[in-house]
Amino acid sequence: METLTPDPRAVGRAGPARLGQALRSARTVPLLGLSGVLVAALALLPLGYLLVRSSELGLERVLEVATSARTRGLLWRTGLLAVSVTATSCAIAVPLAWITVRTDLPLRRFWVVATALPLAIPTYVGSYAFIGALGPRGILQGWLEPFGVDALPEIYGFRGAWLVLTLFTYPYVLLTVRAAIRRLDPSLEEASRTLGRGRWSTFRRVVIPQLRPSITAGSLLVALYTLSDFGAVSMLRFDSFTRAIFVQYRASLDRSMAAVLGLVLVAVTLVVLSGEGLARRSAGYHRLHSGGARPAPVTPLGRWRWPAFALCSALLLLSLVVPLAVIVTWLLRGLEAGEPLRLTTTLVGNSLRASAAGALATVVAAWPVAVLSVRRGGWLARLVEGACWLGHSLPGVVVALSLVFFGARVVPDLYQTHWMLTLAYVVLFLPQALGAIRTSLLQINPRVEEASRMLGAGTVATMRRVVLPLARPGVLAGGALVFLTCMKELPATLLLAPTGYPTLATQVWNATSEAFFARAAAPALALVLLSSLPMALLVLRERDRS
Amino acid sequence: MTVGTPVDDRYARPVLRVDGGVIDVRGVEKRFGRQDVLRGVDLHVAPGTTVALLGPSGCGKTTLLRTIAGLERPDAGTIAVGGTALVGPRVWVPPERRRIGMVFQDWALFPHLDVAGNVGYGLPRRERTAARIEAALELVGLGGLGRRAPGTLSGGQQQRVALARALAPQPSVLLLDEPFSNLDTALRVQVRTEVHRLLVELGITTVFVTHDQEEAFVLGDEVAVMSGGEIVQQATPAELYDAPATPWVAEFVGGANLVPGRATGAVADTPVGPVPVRHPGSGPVTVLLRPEQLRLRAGTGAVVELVEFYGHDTVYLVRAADTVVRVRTSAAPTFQRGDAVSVEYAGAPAVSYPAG
Repeated sequence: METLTPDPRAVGRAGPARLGQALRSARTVPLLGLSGVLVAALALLPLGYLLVRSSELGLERVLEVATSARTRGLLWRTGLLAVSVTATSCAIAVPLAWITVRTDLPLRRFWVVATALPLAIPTYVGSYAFIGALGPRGILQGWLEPFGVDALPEIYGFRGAWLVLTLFTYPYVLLTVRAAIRRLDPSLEEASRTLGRGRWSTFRRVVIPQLRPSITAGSLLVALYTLSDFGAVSMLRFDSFTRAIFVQYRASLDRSMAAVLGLVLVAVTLVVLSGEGLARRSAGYHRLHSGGARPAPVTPLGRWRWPAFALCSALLLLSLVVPLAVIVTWLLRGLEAGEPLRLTTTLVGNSLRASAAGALATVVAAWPVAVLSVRRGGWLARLVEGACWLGHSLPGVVVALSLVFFGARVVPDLYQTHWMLTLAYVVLFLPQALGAIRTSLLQINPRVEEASRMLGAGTVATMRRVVLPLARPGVLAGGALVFLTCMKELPATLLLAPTGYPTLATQVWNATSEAFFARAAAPALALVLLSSLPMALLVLRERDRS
Repeated sequence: MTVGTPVDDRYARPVLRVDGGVIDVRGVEKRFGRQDVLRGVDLHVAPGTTVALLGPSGCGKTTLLRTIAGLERPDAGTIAVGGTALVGPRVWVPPERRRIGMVFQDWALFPHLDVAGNVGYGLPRRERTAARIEAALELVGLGGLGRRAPGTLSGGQQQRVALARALAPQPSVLLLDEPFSNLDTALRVQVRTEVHRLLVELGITTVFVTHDQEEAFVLGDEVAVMSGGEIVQQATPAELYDAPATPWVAEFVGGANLVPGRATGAVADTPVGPVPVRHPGSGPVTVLLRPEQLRLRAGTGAVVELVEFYGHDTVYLVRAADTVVRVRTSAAPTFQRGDAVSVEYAGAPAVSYPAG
């Protein structure tokens, strides 16, 4: 059969098809790759420009700054803070995780939710609450003044930063460890008991080793957060890296110094992150069973039942009740004093607009990268994705600083516009959107896309009719997550928002710096309410799984 | 589309206008990395017939099917359907322009669309009418289920939706990838018969992949046995069973006793006695004796080692000299373990292969 002799019909079909295919592949495949590369370039821009800017100083001077006594001091203080916060977070979170999952703690289900909630309070809002309560001109000072007390223990400095960061970041450890405890196979503990080990010995020799990977993972999250946190340390005036970078940038003319400090901080962050990578890999050896079919046995706390309850209550008081009470108190005082609420609506509007732009841009940027990595693979996809995950390790203040330099020098037309702020949001939060979109794309059966092709839909039509509708939950979730994170973001917004464009976050920061506690109350409350939305989702999902 | 008389309660018989196209695959090669998955495959499917691609997992049968579909691009070779070149030197027609229907192993129904949305997906906007979709659903016996979500249907129903979806755009060729492997055993036979009837009535050219010999024999007008990226033999099921090209094919397509023998002219001397062979020769050979071609009788020379009763027949494992052979009889067991028996060959001249 001469089937390959092209009959007229065949030429009519295959000829244009060939041309069309060539055009289409020229348009779609490289388009995806190109947009991916473009996004990766944007993600690399801050770090790259920071390098350029530092190199202007000359290598010798850079090394001099990087090894100066001041830098060493910063390293010491920042490291001390990170280690202290991580240690106290673990000390609180690991026992807390255990007693809220495996024991007969009174109101156990309530505590499962309540102990995770402090995560909904941004650290600078928490700092504001503690300064507003304990600082000079704070609530407590006001109460005690009639009794002749005119100075409280200092809230500013190391102790304040340590306290605030611990109270509002320990849930990172709590949530990861709790998830691990739920995955524990109770029959391993039973096996240990039948082999002659007592309850405590079993806990030490069987349970703790299985929890170690999750404790490490949670600790690293807390450490990373502490390293990159700007709000708490700057408001509580603890001279760690992020604050020093900001002060250096604001106060001095030699801004290259700030760039070098930024680079040192990025290096420290990368070291911690590589530690996380190692921990995650070794966690593979500890792979846990998917959990026994039977629920884990409840450990009776006995006479420790009520002391445990009291400790949980104290923690809740400190991490949730006091901050909220302080904010509400200042809000009421402000209302009494005629503090205009109108300003807050402007702030909410500004925050909403900036965050919506950030979320939209981030999702648009993440889409081609996610498609590239899930469906195409290969070295280009890996490279592009790697570049996009970098934002994960860049402290906000460093990204902002670099973009300020870049804007002022290279694109003065864009400097002081919303474009720069949106770009900063994209760089910082690309990983969040990427994670969500990737997950939803991975859940799509590739056969379904092939089925669409077999039914006559081209790549673009398949994207529109099948992939996008199926990935929509992930895209929306990613967008919402980025949106809320943008609302809470402080350092980049502070540095890059156009002048005369205050947002909720910058208002809390500015008003607290100037001790206008009443003026910060309404935006602080708004921020807490907004942040509790994703927290509620997280906690609900955690409860569904249990 | 015209509607004829219903033959059974499940399938109405609207005759879809398909002109089954010839499939011509020549010299197709495909490598994944450093692994040769297809090594110069030739496959010819006559218009309106069904060919089964049969082989063990990893033999390349699914890759061949996906290459015809346009989901994999071969490294060499040509593919034409209905006289139109789809793959060849400087020819590449993307899957969406091939007009080939495909049913996936896991059916790959669009989870965000209802049944009607799935079936109508491949129709051009103008033709995407309720009547047209309903007709396709009735073709597979699912009329009236258009508003259901695919996830709420049983496995058998999902399978039929996938079939209706593939057939709705009136393709000239239908490809099925392990179409029944996701159904439980009881349902599989029933659905298989229904699909068989539909394919025969439509007269659509069909290629399907399976690792199940029975499925290949029941549905295929021809069976192409694949191994190691090549088609070892393509023939009708009867030919394949009767005269397998190699000992491996002989074992793969059914119970086979491959016994050593020594040929002298048209007879080979084997552990079960002299057996007439099809191709006269001399020297050591391997002779194919199907279990149902052997007979047992009380006697000497062999011992029953194991008895397996299957209901419709009985299989004996019998040791004769150093060789163990399977013997299938159509009755309930008449011998027991340990009985002394004699085995004799009662079939037509047997197929033999040079030993080695």
